[in-house]
Amino acid sequence: MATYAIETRELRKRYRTRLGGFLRGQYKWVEALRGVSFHVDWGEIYGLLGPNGAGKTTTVKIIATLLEPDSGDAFVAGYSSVRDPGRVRQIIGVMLSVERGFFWKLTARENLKYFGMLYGLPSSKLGDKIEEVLELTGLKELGAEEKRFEDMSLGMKARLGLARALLKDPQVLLLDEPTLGLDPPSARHIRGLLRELANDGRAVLVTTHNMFEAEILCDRIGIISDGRIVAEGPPQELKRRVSDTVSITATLTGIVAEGLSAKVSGSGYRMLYRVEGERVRVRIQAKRGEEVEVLNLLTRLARDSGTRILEVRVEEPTLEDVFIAITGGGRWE
Amino acid sequence: MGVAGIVKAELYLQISWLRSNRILFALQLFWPYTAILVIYVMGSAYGSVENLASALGVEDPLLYIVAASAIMFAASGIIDQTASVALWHRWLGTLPYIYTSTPSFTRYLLVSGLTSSLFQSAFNFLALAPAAFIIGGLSSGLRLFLVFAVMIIGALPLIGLGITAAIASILAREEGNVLSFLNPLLVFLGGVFYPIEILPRILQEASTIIPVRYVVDAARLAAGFQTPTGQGILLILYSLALLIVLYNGLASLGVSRLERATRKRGLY
Amino acid sequence: MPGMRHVRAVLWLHLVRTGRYMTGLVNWAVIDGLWISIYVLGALMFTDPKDYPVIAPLIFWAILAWNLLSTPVWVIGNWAKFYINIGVYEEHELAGVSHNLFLSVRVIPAVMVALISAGFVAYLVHYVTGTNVLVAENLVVLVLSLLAILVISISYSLVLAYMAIITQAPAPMLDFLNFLVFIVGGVGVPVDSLPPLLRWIAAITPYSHPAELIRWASIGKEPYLGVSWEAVLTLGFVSAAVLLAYSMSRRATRYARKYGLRGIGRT
Repeated sequence: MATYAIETRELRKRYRTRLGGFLRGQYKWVEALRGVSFHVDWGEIYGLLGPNGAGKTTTVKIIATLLEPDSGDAFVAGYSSVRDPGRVRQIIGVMLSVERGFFWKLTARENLKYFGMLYGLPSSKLGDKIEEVLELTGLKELGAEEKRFEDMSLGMKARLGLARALLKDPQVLLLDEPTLGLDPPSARHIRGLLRELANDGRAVLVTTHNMFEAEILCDRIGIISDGRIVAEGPPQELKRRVSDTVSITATLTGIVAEGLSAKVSGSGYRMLYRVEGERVRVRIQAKRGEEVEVLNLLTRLARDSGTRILEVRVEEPTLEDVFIAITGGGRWE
Repeated sequence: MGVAGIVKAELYLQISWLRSNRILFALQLFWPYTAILVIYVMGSAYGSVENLASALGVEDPLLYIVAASAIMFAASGIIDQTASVALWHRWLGTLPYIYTSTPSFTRYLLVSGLTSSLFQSAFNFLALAPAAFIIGGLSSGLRLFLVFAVMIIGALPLIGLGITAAIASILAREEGNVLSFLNPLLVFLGGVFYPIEILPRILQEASTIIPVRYVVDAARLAAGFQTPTGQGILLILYSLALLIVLYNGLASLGVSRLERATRKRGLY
Repeated sequence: MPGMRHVRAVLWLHLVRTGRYMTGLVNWAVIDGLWISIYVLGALMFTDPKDYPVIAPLIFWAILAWNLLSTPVWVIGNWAKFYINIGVYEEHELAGVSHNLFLSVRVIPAVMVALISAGFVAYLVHYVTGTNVLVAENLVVLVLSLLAILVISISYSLVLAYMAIITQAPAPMLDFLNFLVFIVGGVGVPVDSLPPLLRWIAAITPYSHPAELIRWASIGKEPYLGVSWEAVLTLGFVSAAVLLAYSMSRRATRYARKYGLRGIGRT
């Protein structure tokens, strides 16, 4: 096919958020997308990778015709999501959330039957199609087909979301964080299924903030930060960009992460950190051969701020290092 | 947490809530008047207050409507403050903290329920006090105060009833259904705006164990043709005392068993 | 044809859900019935018993009208909150289903609640007054007038639902008209019993005209503006309400696509 499965051109989107004020509200505009362009080929799994608030969901919703961009356009199989939403909706299968989007008191099968009817699947084929997607997503194996949505585990709900997305045999799948919060077997099952679907020639766009998942699942990745695609390519190629670096990862306790990040930056290194309860996981990027210097710096800073280092390791580069190298690091949520 | 601690915490919660919800505060003052408005406008369109006076056997029908509205809102408030409080804490996610803050959840429900019930009843009667003064001056105000005094005693069996309903509804996992049903049932069987005698026989029988009924009787006495007699008030107090024993006895018999079962089955 | 396909699917869904929520639905109807009875019996106490044969049916039909105009605000209007919060709004948007269709078909549980509670009130009023309230001098006009109230009420509830989508305030909080309409808008009481100024307000209130027709069709009480005028005005208000709901739906859908969908109420 000549056209891309999915293509976005210079998507821009601003949101108005309320700051306060009782009668006359005060607002500020937040730029969610600042010119997002990328494409997905047929038979490809493309991962949109970025921290929360980077613009992943907004991008998916624009492609899925649920949001209008302020400027730019998105295309699915050549049809514009802005000008021809009806055509686009016939081609796509969408999963917007793991936990929502179903009727609680209906069983998995009933929910699928309802949406199948809405999608216009002929009654004669609907039953078989439901069986097929129940089988494919593993819901049958889990004995979940007659369970009400309210009684399902998170893993079952995610599989049901995927089952619905597959009901109309879509050629393009748009999946927003399809494995968020799932147990490892469910996440593995979904990843395996997505690979099979792509091998059949379907295009799959997944958003994720899980770098490990992006690395093992996606053929190509677009790293999105602050409403822009800042890097794009196959995972191995992206990692090659930082092949001359190593990373020192550490888990620390009782520390003000922002302060540490500023001090590390002041010493000429880049750091990415995650706050996990009362602990902070940091990843400091260094040139090969500078490991000892970074270790000494980390030890000194920890001692000065009265914190403890629980664990420290030197690691080969991953996608996290690509993100650090491009964005300069910061907080990852 | 001891009894004094629970009382203090509950009062603090009630006052903070009113202070931070000014619009709801205003609505709470206003709502009892809407009940009066509906009854009065509909009633007047289809008849007259003279008919009402003769149907209810009261001299001052307007004062009676005011007192009946106060009773209706106070009774609903008491059930909300006792029975619904567990549901409310569960929705907010504060129930586990309340549960573990006191050696007995029953004690918490009893003491906090009593405190908030008195607070709410006083609020409702105060909201309607201006109407009573406008209708009949100081005399009407005093009569409304008499009804309030009886309402305080009437609150005691209602709290017992509310607590039993609260724990039972948590166990049945039907909080919304059970609790929203209880309020109109109590007011309906209490006969706030009409004599119980007009209801079917079985409902009349059922109303004898409804505390609201006796508070309504007190309101009728207060709006009656003569100064309320000691004998009339004693009869009401006697009936309420029996109900206090009945409901609070039932609550204390059942509640510790229910509390144990709740802990076994899980609360959250 | 996608329209019919969607109607079938949405009907099927609401019927299944009504069955699953039956306990809550019946409970809701009984609670409504109890609250309404408290006021109805109170209002009856103002009436001379010899007037019961006329007044009791008047009150009953006023209450049924009230049920039909107020329940949809909760069952349809307030459901916009759940429609969005449980995440199915976007799924229907993707399937190309009209939100008007999805929300309107919730009239099934709304009518069930209204009829069950009205049945309870009818029994009680009949018991207390000894009068048969289910009387109709002109059944066709009675049914059509009740339907007119229902259509206006569904449209009004849809308008509230779409306003909720735009403002993020739940529909019942935006509804300040229904209560006023019942008292001063000629639904709870006949228009000619109102003071002169309120009669003018009643005349511009959509519900007062079908309510006047209901009183005429049930016990033969002459409508304030005459049968023909009341019928014409009823039709006019029904059409205006439907058009308003349609235009609000387009506005809210465009709003959601432009600004994104946000939760309604305390979410």
